[in-house]
Amino acid sequence: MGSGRASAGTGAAGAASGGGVERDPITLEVLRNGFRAICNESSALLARVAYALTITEGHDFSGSLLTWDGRLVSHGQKDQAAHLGTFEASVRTIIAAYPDPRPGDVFVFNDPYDGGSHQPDIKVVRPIFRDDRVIAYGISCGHWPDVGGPVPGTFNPKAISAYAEGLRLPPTLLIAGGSPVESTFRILRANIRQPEERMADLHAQIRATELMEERIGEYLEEFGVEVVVDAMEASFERSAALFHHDVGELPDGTYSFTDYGDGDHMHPDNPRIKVQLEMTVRGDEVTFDFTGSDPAPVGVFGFARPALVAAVCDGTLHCFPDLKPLNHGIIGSVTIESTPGSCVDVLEPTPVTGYASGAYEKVAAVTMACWAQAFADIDPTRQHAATINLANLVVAGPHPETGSESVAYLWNEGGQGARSYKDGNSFQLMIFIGGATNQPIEVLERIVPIRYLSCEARPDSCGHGTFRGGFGIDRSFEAVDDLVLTMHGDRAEVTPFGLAGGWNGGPNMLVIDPGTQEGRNLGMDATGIAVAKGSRLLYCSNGGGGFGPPHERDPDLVLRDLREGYIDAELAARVYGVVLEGEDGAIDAEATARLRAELAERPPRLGFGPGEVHPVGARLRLSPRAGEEAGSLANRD
Amino acid sequence: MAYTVAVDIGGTFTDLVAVERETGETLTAKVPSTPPDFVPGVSEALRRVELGAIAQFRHATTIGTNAIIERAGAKTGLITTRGFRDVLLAGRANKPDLYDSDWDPPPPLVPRRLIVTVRERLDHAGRVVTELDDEDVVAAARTLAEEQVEAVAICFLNSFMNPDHELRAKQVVERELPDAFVCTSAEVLPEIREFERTSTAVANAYLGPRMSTYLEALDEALRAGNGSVAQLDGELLVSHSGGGLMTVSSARELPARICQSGPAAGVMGAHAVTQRLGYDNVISLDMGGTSADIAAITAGRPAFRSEWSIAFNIPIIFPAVDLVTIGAGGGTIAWLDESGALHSGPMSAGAVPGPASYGRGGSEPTNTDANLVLGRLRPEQFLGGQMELDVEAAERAIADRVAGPLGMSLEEAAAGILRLSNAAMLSGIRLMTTQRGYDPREFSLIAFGGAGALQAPDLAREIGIERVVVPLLPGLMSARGILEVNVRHDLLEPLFQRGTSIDPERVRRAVEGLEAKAREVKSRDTSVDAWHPEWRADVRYFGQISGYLTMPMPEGEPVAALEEVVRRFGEEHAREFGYELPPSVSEAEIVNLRTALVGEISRPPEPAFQPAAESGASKVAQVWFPGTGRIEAACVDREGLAVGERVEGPAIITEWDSTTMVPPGAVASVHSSGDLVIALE
Repeated sequence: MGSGRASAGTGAAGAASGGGVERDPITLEVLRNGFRAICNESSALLARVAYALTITEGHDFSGSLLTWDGRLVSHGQKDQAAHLGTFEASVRTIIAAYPDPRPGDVFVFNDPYDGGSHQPDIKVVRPIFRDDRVIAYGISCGHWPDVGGPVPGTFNPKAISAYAEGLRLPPTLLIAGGSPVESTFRILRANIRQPEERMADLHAQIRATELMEERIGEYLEEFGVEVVVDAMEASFERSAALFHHDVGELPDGTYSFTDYGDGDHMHPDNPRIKVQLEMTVRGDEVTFDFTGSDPAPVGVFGFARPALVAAVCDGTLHCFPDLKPLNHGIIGSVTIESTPGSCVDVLEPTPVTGYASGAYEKVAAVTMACWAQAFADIDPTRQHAATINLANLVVAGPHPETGSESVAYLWNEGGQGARSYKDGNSFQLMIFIGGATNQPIEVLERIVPIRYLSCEARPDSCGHGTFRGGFGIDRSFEAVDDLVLTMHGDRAEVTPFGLAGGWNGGPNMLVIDPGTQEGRNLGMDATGIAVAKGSRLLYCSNGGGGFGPPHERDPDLVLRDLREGYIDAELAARVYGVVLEGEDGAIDAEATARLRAELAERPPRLGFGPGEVHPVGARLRLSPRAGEEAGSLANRD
Repeated sequence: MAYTVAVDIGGTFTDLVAVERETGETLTAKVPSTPPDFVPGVSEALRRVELGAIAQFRHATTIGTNAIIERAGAKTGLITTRGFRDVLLAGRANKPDLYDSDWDPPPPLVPRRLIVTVRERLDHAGRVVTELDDEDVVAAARTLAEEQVEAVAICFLNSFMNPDHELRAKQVVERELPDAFVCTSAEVLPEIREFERTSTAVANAYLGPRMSTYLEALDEALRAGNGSVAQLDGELLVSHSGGGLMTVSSARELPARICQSGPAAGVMGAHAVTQRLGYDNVISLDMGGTSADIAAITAGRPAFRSEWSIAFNIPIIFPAVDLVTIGAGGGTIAWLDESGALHSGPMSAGAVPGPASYGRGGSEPTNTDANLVLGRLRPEQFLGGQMELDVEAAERAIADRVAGPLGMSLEEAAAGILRLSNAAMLSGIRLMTTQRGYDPREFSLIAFGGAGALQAPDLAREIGIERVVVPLLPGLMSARGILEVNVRHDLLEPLFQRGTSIDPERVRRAVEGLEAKAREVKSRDTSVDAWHPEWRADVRYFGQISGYLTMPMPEGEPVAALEEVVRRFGEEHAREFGYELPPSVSEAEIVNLRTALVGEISRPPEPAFQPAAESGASKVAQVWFPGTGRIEAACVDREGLAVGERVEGPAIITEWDSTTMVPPGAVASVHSSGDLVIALE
């Protein structure tokens, strides 16, 4: 076992400046809402003016406010959790490099190993001053469609080091005392594709941080520095108190779960990659121990420590929704242990661009699966099977209008994991970009030479169960010009797990020319694949994992899925043991009971693939309270 | 005596304002609404005012919005492109909250089994890739006929660039389902983005049959008279989300436009009132029982937006008066979370059980209770004395739920509740002003709705606004607003032209398309005296994806006008977003061409103000203010105020359905129009 590390927090216990201020609950609430509104406003600005589809339509951006020493105060309501958890480390790194910033300084940063997430997440960071003192930091983070490197879109599934990914920016001065640092702009422009568009995005991000400075300025004006700074401290104390209170209600114990990445594609044996968590609750404290996870793979999958913190907090907040927004009170309250050099704590220069489809979703999923066990007797609404995993497809080809090279990122919505008391929803995004949206087909077809063939839920893609996961989607398309494709995905083989006997969900897929002789599975690490005009791509997403054995599902819910066209009669009988009478489709109660008794006798097919039952997940009990909740919800359409 | 009558049907009340067309004599009524059949409420309101004859009837209604929120519209089917059955259900794959795993999307207006697909496909430029298969359409229509749908929406991919397939399919469906309401997405509004356009077409179809039935019933009831009620001998006009009116025949085709008509009319009323007072930059605050609607009027014009949502996942792409709804109304609940932090809203006690002081079983403290505890609301004068408020119940609610746990005095807690509710409204005001590049301190605030004038002066002080207007008839502003507007239709043609290479042929086709649509509208709305088209262009930087700015086009030749718009775009972008891009980075792109077709109709005189001959007697009340504690304040009846009369704060001015708080140091004066203008130093 490797060396553990202490708390994810900074240990900066309360800003010295915050002490001794008399607290007025009304002012605190006004400011707490105000901090959030500032972040929302900054995020909304970026969404409206940016160029990158990843930002405008994908909402893959965040705007956050941090304390003078780099503790997270608040974030935009629909920001990306994957960014938020890394911001503390980002700002601390910048402070270390520039301990005495000047008013009007702005930094740009993306170094994954020293406080970032992955290279495409460009962070623009601005110290916010009152007189000559730094009061706070504003950060605007946007996922750029390209930050250079050998592969358009920067995701390089064949990378075995960061040098084969994209531009890496340690803390870098972008604007010095209000004047642009031209050399920085030149370096950026020289190293990325579509530099004009990215400069437009950069301007938007700079403005987003400036807006935060203006707004904070108004509050400083109205309430004074001490009160504003103390309100930040108070918000941490509140969140930490709520979190510890809730954890204290849970039974002491160690809960564990294991999940896998499909494989280390750059390793000759392509072995599975294990992500293991042992979560220990003692009193009102919780420790997440990831030291049982596999060493860092040769290829892309893992992330550096800051992103691990983000993923653990993300999974945790899904089980504690009342704690939002994420702030330092929560980040500082969890202890995370990991082995440096492991797949969840990689070291420079292990590649990391692909962590979004790799380690992130696995860590969030096992975190939620451990909380599900801790909550078993307390609250079934905190129990969730695993959700769709990102399978990011970068498409490059001539712009249909201008003919110049155009790049788009595609991602699919898919199935949410089943809840222990109701089905998972279809058409949901992964935990990783939970605040994002899908992209309009009509917009994409104007930008890249593809023509969609489908936007429909895929039958039989859900993880079946007493409560089933949401369905995966089929967004197949045709190349209307020559294209180059790069896929960055996972969970084609180890699919989103079910719990308590629920089946694992359906796979992510990328298949070229399906159903023809030339047809082949391109897999989740397809890199720089040349696709000829006229080829068709089957591009499908995961369904969510199921909860509880399928043969215990309410037959009326099976019938509903059938009538809505999600499943057919054959599947209803084979999986759910529901037999229908004749044409009108009423349930044949007798035949159903007989078939269900038979299905109950069959041992579940244990395994990690679609339609199998996750061996660790199978051991989880259905919460005793899940049944009663289910009764009241079963008829909800 | 002939009247123009305006009626606004809300969920709780039906408001009426009638103005005599020669004299300006003004009559008003407020009666309970009568869902689900709202016509009796209208008749009752008319009975109250005893008019001679109705020369014109204008109306706003929440019926459409309610039908969607309660999922009480028609059984609707959707026909779409083969392979794309789930565009509507997938929506934008978003959710309201990042971490809420318990959340479920609200049910769609069309269930999946009523979404059927047909073979056809257009490319991004509107060129045919796959011909429409008419037999598929026949089969789809028959499937929906078997299901006995009452309405059908047709939406094909990329139809905004070429409506032919949709129109052909419509002919088939109308033949197969002669009684159904049928609409296509490109007819409704040909704007890019398949989900938003489908959603709009579906909402339109969903409302079509019910709205037609309702409008027929209303028209019939109004024309029949019925003994005690005046007869309509003239036009029935319906107001829409864009702050204009439509004739009934247009309203039947575009029922989704009627949603949000009441709040939009309120802003138009606020606009008219403040224009007459001579104020060009105004924030409009309509604060009712459950929420507050906030809008901005800049340089004398209300702001519009090209898209809005009726409810989660139901976007509507009609241009609408731009307003934001904040969970801050009289009934908004204040509550403590587990950590002891105080919050205001967004949930509301509604009308039932209502605030604690209503004595209808509500025990949670609301803004109304806080105002009552501070002495700002007169318990005996609520709703003209029809309902006495229970001060002790309000005190109990605030003491038990807020003051006690926080260790504050009753009054501090009540004032704190109002401060939080004002802070929520403040964030809404920021959204409409600072976020768009305007400084709210340069604005006046006009406050109406039952609760607006109670909190507006404090809110204004918080922002640094120096003037608050409380209009005449503050509880009837939406009805008043309908009297102030013209007929208006918003038409659109996509363009997608880059600023440096505008193709005159494409522009000519778009202009012709808009002119053809305008001719069709004009042939339907024959009561209009004169039509004025206002031309606009949606512009962004080429490469920007999501947003655009809608800019007015100068008069003259369209290509030259567009070039002028392109020249001004950078400056406009800088005002709206705080920066502009150097030409090396990007050129402008004209996304759409729009016409706002404004039809002038006969406008009634302003509502007549009947000032009191002399000041009424004023009473005295004990009112709590921060810094002063409870002090003596004048308590004045608004009906007893004469033109030019000044009321110095602290004072409380009461009227039938609204109360105005004049804080210490402020002075309210009565304008000759009857509107109150409060000067805050």
